[in-house]
Amino acid sequence: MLSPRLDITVEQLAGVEKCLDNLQQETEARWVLLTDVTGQFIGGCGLLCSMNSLNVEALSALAAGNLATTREMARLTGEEARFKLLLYEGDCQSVYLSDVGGEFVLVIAFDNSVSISAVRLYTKQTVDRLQEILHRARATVSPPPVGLDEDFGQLLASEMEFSF
Amino acid sequence: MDERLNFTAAQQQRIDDCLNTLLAKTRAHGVLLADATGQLIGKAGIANDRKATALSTLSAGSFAATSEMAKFLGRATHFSQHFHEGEDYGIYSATVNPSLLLTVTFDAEAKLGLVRIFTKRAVEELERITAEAQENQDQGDGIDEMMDSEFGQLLADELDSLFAE
Amino acid sequence: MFINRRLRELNLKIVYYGPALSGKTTNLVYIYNHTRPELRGDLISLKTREDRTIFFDYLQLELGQIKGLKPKFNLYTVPGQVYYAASRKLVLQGADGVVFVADSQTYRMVDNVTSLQDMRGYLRELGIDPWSVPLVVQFNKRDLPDAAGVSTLRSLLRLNRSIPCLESVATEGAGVFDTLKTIINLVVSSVQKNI
Repeated sequence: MLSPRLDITVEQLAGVEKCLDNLQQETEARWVLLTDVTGQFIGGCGLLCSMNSLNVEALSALAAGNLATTREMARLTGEEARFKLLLYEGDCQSVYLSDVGGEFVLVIAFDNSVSISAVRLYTKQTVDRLQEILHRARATVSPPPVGLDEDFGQLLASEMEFSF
Repeated sequence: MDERLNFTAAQQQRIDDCLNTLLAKTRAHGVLLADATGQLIGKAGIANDRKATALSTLSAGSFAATSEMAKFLGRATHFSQHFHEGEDYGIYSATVNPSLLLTVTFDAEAKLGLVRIFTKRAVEELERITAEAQENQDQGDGIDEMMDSEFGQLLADELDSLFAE
Repeated sequence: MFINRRLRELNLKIVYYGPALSGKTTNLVYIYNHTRPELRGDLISLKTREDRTIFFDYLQLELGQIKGLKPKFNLYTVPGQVYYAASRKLVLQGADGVVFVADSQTYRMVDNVTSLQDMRGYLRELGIDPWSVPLVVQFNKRDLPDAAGVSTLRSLLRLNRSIPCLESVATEGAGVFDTLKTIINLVVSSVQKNI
């Protein structure tokens, strides 16, 4: 019922986060965010860390919604492939979105003082690395995460009973 | 939402002329003007009405989503230029005031640099027309009076014709 | 609303709102499949591979000229899942009328109530008085054994008598067109009052 489960191991997630950190430092981006195409937040860095988690979720959902929209635009205008570049430029800041293997969206927010070609170059490298890690994540069948056994459902249910 | 734009037929004509000029100058495929809610205000070059409507809805959706993202960046309230580029096809959008979106679809025939320059000029013209439209009072074309109670009744009848048996 | 005075077109926006899996997209799909092709545009769905709406569905309907004016209706759905809150608010922008699709099943009542409250909150944030927007409530999934009674639904959702409520089984189309007609008539009479 939910999206096909992406089960990233702790090591793989660390690899993803390292990639994002590198990208943010190399481009002096304000923040970098990775979400899956349904809008589930996977990882991020930079100013994102000091943001309210609800805002980070909203950003993820919006980025995924926007990617879906542009794919439909590409289809309508006769572009077989998806758009390769999605860039949104404001007066002082811009946002650059990349499709990662059709499964994820990489979002990078930066000041307009940063060269867009540098952003494109480093993003391209990051996308390649992420694809490699995430491809492996899909291939691995991991054991169920610790604690997520039968009791979990029951504990969750009683917790909710208690909370609302 | 209550800042609804109300263009006179003459202003609407100027909008359409402006979009046609932009199309010709840039050798683009199509040009669309939509409001932030996706209502198509004018178009040039795209003969297929449905495609034009769908594109304006989508570009407004993208505009809305990215404007919301811009709020998390601090100062920016929206992104004034949107670039969507594929192998040999692209869509470029620019905001007119913050509430309208002018979109140009183009292929390798057109140069992005030119598209940007002429779009900027078109935006200036459209901003003038929009500013004038904000001062429009009664249109005197009878459309407002036409929306009387009889219209509602006729519409209710017409609705039944929508449904295929 | 947008009136193109040169082409004499009246454009109106209607949003189908409601909790996850209540049947919003199902309404649009049924309308699409059962309207005369020359009167409708393509059905555009921004959805995940699991068929869940991620941003919106969109369908345009147009009628022949009425007193020299051509009405066009732009129908949208919102994504129902909880974490698409920000996207839901965006779709409500500029809505001329709302169809609230409620899931009649008893166990979904909290979801219905929360969703309706959220919707009113978003409208307020957008500067729209939620009580002035034309609203039709559709009680969907009437065929399911666990469906609550209509009066129960009305009172739980605190819907006063002036709000039209219709019963539906959207998967089979029952009530779908009646809902659409009701909201269109409400929207048009509200436009007449405000023009």
